[in-house]
Amino acid sequence: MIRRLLLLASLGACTLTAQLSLFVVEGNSEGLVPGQYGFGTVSMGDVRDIAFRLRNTGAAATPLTVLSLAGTDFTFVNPPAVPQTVTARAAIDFTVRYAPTQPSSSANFSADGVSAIFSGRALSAATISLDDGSGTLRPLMADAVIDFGSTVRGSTVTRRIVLANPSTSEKFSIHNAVALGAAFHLKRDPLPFVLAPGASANMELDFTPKSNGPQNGTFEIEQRSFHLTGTGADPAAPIPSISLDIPKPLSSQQGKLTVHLGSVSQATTTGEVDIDIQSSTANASADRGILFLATGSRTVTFNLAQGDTVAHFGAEDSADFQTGTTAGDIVFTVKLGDWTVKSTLTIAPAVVGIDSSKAQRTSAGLDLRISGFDNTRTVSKITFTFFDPGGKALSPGAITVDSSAAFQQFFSSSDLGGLFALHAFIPVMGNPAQVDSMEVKIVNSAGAAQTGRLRFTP
Amino acid sequence: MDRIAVFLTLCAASAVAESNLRAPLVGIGRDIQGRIRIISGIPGNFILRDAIASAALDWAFGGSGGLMKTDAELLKLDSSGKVIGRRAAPRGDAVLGPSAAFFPVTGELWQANVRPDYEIEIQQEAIGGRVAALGAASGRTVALAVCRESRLWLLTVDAASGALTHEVLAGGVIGERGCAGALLWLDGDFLLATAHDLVIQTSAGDERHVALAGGTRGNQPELHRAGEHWVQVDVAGSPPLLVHVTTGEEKLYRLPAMGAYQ
Repeated sequence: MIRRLLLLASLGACTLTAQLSLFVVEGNSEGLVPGQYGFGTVSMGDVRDIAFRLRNTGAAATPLTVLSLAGTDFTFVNPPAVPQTVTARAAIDFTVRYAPTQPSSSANFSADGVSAIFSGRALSAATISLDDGSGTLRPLMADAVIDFGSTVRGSTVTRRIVLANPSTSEKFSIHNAVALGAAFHLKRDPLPFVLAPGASANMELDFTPKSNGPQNGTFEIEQRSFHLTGTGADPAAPIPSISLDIPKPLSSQQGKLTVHLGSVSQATTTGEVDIDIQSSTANASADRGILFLATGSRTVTFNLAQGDTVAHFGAEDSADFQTGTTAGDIVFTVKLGDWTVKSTLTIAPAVVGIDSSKAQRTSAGLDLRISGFDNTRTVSKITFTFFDPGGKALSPGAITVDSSAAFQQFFSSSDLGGLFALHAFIPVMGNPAQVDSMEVKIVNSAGAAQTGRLRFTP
Repeated sequence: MDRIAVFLTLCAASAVAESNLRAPLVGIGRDIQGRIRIISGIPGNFILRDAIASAALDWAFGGSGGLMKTDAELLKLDSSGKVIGRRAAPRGDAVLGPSAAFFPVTGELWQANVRPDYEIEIQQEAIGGRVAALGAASGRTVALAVCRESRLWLLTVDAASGALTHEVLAGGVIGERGCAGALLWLDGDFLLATAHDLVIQTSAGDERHVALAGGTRGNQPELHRAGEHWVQVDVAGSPPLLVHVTTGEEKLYRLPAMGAYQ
């Protein structure tokens, strides 16, 4: 009985013994390597990397003290540290590279109780190298990426490809060499051509993007292929200039702004125009009247397409704007790519602009309404002169009122620039019909504005 | 006379102190999003203010007030453009003036400047066509521009009874073409908008033409009385326009969009 127990204990101990197994890794899955693994056929000058995994399939930790490759043409790419302990069910990943230098080769892999034979076959082929523009040749392995970077749409970036025959005795015939992809073009000798032992041949790969954005292709030569990639970018926008079409450089005008281009645009892009006021009046309040009509704001965007000579604001070739009612410099700023261009429209300080005036007579007195603007915000005095039905000024003649405080208070709380509507009521004792008409003069820092003779209407 | 002069001196001195300064009002307009808004400003400098309605079929605003028609209501506006009254109205289109509304569906004419609001029914037989525009309403009479077949007739209707008191064929181009587009009767002047141009025929018979940019697409414009001297021209797919109608001159402006900072 004791012997049986010892035997069972011995067997149980064996099943608990930690052990390493070798797996090949493909994506998210792994397959057990049953003592040998073939790397397949690889062109001379290429490499093939295979990912492997040493997994501790036991229930206890096990040491890793040995990890070796004995043979030619096989090497570890990222060998794990040795020695180390592999805990239960843990794994160590590493990569083995096959870089053939002879028609066939093999190597013995071993690691603490695990062994396998790696083998591979080589295909005689030319080596392929890339000059990325620096003048230095870099060997290209199969599936490598040839990146042309970013280049302006319509322009060409060229990479030099060098094929070399490393053999001292064998010659190679090249039957297939092609670039696939609309933006890529291969310049080479006519096919087929022969590479004598030790000889080399140059090819040129061009990348000419015809549209914006990332573009991909493939470069195939014999049985090998390489990824081509590049990005088409917009050409620089032409330098813009601004022209203004406005009846007069005055307040309360609507005009048109056109963005001209210094040359025919090769770019398809957008830009914007800002309008701003640098008031010549120190205490000028906000002026919401200065704006682009299409947006109702102080910014409007425009588009450029290939072939354009002017910018497009939606369906129009110009942007309408208002000059508002503030004296100063209206500054238009065009931002297009790296360009920033300004144009200034100077609005001179002006006498008060009287848009409308109405004088009415009521039973209680005289009612006066005047609408207009003061682009200086400096209205100071208002002078009233009343006339009798015969056109004679009523005594005592012109009556001047200092109205600066009332206007200053109004303008300071307004965001409509210099706009104002004045409603004044003048009570009359007696018969208001004796007052037939009036004239009003409004003074600001630019001078005096005078209404015509305003007849009082019933 | 001396007493008046002395009094004027004193009163004028205090007139500005007692005066009312505010933003000048252009009138009522419809922005490109279709909202009805108060418009402040003067010619060439327009600023859109608060919306008073999200949509309207029509509106007419004069210096002292106006009317606005929504699908099922008639809104009354004061001189500042604020809504001061509203009442149910026949659904659908109406022909508006600043103080009167005609409802083709019922043949009713409402006068808003009569207290209380006064309604009369005008017999369709008397009209004999389609009411294209309303003229001035004096309180005793109302003027209507009526399309009878392709000719425009000017009718005067008794405001109390609704009876037709006078009718005459409109003269000039308005008489001939007044039914071929949108018509507005503005203080004796006629404005006719077609797909190609705006025709102004004054009360004196003068005739002027203003090209409409949006008309190149062949869209039929709409005309709306926007203010005392202002008419809004809406052409589908084009920015709204404002026409300033003054004696001897019309000037076309573009109405700003409602910007983010407004």
